[in-house]
Amino acid sequence: MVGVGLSDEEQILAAKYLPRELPPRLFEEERFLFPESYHVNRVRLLVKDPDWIFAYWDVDPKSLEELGKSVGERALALSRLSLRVSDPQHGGSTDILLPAGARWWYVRTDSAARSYRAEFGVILPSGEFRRLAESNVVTTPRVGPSSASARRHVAYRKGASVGAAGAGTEEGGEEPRPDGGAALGPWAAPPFDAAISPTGPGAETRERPVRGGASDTFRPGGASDVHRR
Amino acid sequence: MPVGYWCPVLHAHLPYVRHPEYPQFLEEDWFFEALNETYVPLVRVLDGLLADGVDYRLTMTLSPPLVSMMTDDLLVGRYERHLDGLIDLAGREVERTTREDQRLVDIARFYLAEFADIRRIFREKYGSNLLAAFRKHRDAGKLEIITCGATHGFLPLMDPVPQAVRAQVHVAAQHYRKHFGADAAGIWLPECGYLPGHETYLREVGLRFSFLESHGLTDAHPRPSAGAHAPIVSPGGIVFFGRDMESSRQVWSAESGYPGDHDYREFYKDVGWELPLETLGDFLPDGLRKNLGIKYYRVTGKVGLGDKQPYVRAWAMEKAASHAGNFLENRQRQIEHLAGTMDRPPIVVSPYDAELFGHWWFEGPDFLNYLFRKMHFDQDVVKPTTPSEFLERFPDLEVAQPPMCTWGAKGYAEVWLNPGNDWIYPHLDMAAVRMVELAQRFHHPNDRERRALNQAARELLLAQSSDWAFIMKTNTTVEYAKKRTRDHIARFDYLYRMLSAGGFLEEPILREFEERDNIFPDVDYRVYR
Repeated sequence: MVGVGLSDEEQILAAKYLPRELPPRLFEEERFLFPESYHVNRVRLLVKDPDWIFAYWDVDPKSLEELGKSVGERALALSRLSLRVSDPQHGGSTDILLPAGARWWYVRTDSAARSYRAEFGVILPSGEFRRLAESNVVTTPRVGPSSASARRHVAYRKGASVGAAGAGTEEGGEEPRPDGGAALGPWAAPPFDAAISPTGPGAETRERPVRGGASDTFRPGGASDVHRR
Repeated sequence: MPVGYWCPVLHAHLPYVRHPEYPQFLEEDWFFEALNETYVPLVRVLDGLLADGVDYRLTMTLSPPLVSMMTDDLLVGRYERHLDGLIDLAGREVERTTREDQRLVDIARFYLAEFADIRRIFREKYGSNLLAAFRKHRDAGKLEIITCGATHGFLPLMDPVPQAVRAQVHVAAQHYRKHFGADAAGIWLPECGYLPGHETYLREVGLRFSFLESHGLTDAHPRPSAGAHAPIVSPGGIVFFGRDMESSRQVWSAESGYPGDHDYREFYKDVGWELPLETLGDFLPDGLRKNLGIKYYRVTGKVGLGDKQPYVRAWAMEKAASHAGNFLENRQRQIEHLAGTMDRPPIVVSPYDAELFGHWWFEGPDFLNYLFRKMHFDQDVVKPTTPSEFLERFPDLEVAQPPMCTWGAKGYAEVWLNPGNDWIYPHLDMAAVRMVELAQRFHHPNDRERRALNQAARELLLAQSSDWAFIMKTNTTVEYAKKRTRDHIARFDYLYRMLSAGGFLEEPILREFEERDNIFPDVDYRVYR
């Protein structure tokens, strides 16, 4: 019943907005809460830009319980959840001691295009690292023009696959590499204790300057759709 | 033969916004506004060019969500009512301005005629299905229509679950085939987001080319000899065209770009915010103000909104023609310069958001109209082309590996991955993992299970729209973006739990999900295997 106290005209007008053709909603999405944890051991890496990768993880409480049984509750209590980030191609790694309760972290990368893998686990008081999960491998993008000139050509033919063409370089140029950079040595980065960082996860992104080069040039794009302005 | 080529690309996309559970929904206006100000006016321009024998070329993404909305009966019906209401309002505005403010009468009459013409084109000429118009221009050989990610998912951040990337590409390709009767040759990677290796998924569905931000080519390895002004092919077998920054800046830049000219229409001064509420009651039933698309003032200059001067349509048209001439002259000079440094004709690729033309820059479609005509009739230095046409004419391609890149601020993923929106990725990732798990587990589902599996795929795809992360970053309609992320993940979560724990799938709830999120009616969950 609508329109109590309304004039005839107002009742008619108000009726325009009645959802008469619509059944009541059965499923209330508002009651859904994103889970704090999915109770699995996993860690993922995403590339944000040449300077930063984003790591997020989940941990299965049962794994920690089992670890506690194995190493003792006191040792577990003194342990730290950690990310061990390494370069699977060229070696080198660093440990990031994670603050309690964090579920993701921005990891500062090397200045060169490089591949990374993360192991998520626990560093025991003894310094031993117990792995709980291993991430995917990501590669940060190269920045700036390559010193090698393209010389290999293929022909585009309508209706035919261009095919998986191999990249080539001019005579005397550097060897082709997936990342296109100069030969890399092992990754060297100091360990990082997030607990003594002045702010929480993601803070470094705001505080540290983005490296120059191509990423600092004019980038007007990305504005898309009506709601984007 | 021209000295070089210009390849304009309009990326037309809106997120899938459809709320049958409400009689009106504010965010559906995004679609209505874009139809009124961009898509229909563009079709009108293209129709005029075709009728006048102008040999134009244009490449357009019509993203699957946009195509789905253009063919959705509920949204089309609501749009037509919205347009009818605007015509009614414009008529009343002619009367009001005649009474109250003679300075605005001409422009009020313009809106009345404009909305009536939009309705004529949409309803009478194309039977309320604008895809027919785009297909007509495609069949005439002037327009190349390309596809996009199924729901504009930002592919580089989906990479940990390869099936999620594949599904975005495969569902889009199938959707394109259904609506355009052929396989798409090209794809606009959502947000121009490229990650090396994703070529595999594109090739699986026969896609041949795409576009990258200019540093995708200039930073490629080995270094392409023509920078961003000749396409390359990656070792993964996809041809990439590079965005030309000079021509982009001329249109995009808020400072030096054309849309900021003082004679053009002012975007931010709309009757929806200025007229008394009782005048606008039909449009604002809840009393909350919004843009309605009737704007009486011009940019004027760097003055406050209260000091803006009335819009003069004739002045704006003169300026659009003048800017088209300037743009053409700049392209001629640019191409002549580039040609002197290259062993083949250069191509200048200019991608823009389609909604820039008309919605943001009201005179944008007129600018394109003048530009194509001047290019056709007045000179031979530069000719418009499409990617497929250019590749047939100049098939020789250098091989180089582009780096990860996007067209977002700073050129990488920061817009879609930052402290304002990063919390969504663990949940999107887990939903994708679970979708793959369901797809691999259910080989012989019963009918209801199959419907639930397909609906789970729809919910995941909709949750992945890059629009939600973008809105969270830009701080516009953040609550709506969060709501959409939550709603789709919540529905997915329900379906996953019911399917995986042997729970009871309630038919009314499943039907509610299907009716609400009805995109991709033909989706097959097995795409996630």
